[in-house]
Amino acid sequence: MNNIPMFNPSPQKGVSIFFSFMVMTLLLSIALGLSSIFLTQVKISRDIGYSVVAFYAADTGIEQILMQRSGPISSCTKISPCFLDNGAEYFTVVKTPGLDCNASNYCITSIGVYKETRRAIEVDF
Amino acid sequence: MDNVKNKAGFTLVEMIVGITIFSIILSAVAGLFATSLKAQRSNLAVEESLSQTSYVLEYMSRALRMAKKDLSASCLSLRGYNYENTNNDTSKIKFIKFDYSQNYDACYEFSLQGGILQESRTSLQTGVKTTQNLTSANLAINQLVFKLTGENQNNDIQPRVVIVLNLAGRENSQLQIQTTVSQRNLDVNE
Repeated sequence: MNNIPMFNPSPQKGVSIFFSFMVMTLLLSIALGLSSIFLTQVKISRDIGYSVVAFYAADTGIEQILMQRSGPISSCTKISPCFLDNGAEYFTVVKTPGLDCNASNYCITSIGVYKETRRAIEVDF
Repeated sequence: MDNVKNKAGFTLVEMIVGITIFSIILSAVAGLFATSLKAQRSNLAVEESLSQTSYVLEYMSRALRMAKKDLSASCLSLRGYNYENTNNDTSKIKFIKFDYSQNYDACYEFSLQGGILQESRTSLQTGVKTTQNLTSANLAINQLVFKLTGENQNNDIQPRVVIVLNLAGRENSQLQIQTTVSQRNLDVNE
């Protein structure tokens, strides 16, 4: 029986390939894990960049009509938004006091859009 | 001899195949890792640029909102103006604002000096001029534009300033940002 290798497996055999496999798996896992974290961060960072541009576009919408002498009149609407030089766009919605506007005079909502990111600012007064 | 033969490891073909597969996987993983590291560096550069840009836009917006009308042409070249592009240069803007550190009005100017955004304020009480940088050397501002609307009191338009910033940070990160600021003091004819 002892002469049959199957029943007398040497503890040395196959150790190299096992270690190689383990090291490769470990390396691959670390590299893929770190890459995944970095790529997610890159996406978040890109979205934050778009968010900042969209927010300032929305701010533009508010500032353009906030101090109009005859009261805020929206000239940039959802159907025909206004475009900025940097590719962002914005539109504003002006509401007078009513069911969806609990303010003394006006509720102004401005929405800035840049690529797939939208940011909104609302001013009530 | 028989014992030696029984303990023989891998053949040359097995070794070559093994090393080839190992090399391919290792180079692919190393490439992916290098790309990710590069993206991470670029990511940090974009975050730094965004942080500085947000700060500088917020700082300028607050100052521009609180601008006062120049009624004696002590800061601007003409009386009755709220803002002015210095020497008609659209990368510079001048206006009067209350300086809390001196407890008196000061003549403010934002301008671009060698890719760095600079603020200078001249006290209208003492005439002392102080200058400070608003952005660091890591951020190169390629374009700065102040477009003025209704800056004169002889119209019925509330003064507004459109700010356009085109900048480049580290790792070739680019950002173009635009916003508008309107003056909070009502611009009535005085």
